[in-house]
Amino acid sequence: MLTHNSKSRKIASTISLISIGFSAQCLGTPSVTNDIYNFLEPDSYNNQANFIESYLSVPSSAIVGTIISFPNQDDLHALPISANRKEESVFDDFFTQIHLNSDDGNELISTAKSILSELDIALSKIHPVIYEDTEESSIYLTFQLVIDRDFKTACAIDTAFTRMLVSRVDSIPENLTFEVTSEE
Amino acid sequence: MVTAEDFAKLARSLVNETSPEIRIRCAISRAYYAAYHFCEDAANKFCAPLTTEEKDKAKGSHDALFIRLRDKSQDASKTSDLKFIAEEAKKIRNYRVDADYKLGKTITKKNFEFCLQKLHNIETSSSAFDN
Repeated sequence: MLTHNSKSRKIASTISLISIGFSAQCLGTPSVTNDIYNFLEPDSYNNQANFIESYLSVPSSAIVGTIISFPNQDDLHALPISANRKEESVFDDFFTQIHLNSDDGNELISTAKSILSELDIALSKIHPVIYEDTEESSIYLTFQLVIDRDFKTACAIDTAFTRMLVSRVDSIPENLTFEVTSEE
Repeated sequence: MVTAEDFAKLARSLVNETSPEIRIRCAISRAYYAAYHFCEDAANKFCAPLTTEEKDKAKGSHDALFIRLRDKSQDASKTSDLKFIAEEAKKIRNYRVDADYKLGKTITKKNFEFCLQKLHNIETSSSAFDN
């Protein structure tokens, strides 16, 4: 049986190999929604408040506990803001959109966080992104797990992360994905 | 007759250093269908079919394929790999939805490179299935 340390070393080796094997170019522009999502950072309520105030030109204290809609952000429909809610519970509205039980959704997020922690990767923030397939009348939800690594490394970590996730979770909903991504 | 490999080859041929966004969008779309057909081949080889009730419950044929890979493996040694290629294909699917339907959204070469990495993982797993 592998010890935790030897497991970690094996995982780290795997990531290095994958990283070496991946030779894609790193070009492009950051997502236009990044600024919008920044305030989902669980440990930075002050940043959230500053962001809300700069974006909406109103004191954040005036809107805490309400639903804020962001027009023209088609992958972010509505986001509940409250300083008192548990960090994962801000995703409940997203779970609802894909008909996923909140407890199951939060458990999957906890598992995802645990895996990144085992990989010794610090999670910067979580971006929920909604994709609407008009042809199949389907809605898909992706949780982008944003890490402070370059694009190529994030891609390699995403592969290792996905392998670990499928080995631990019996049934990932077909309309939900997790994606490890770079802040670049 | 064409194969999943043909879709993958076309996807890779569409993008170079100076490709405009429309080519990147087309390449992502072709990369997704390459992934879809690799997954379908694997499901046909190693998974039981869905029941009529399970098919009806799925939102469409693509969701049904991913459910089949996730739940219907008939080879325990491949179960994890079948789930893995389904997850990788689902990630490309999301980018394909934006590439084909969301004209106002900016699709970047980095999005394509991510999809290509996922496709590469699916191709590698598919090759391993045959060995």
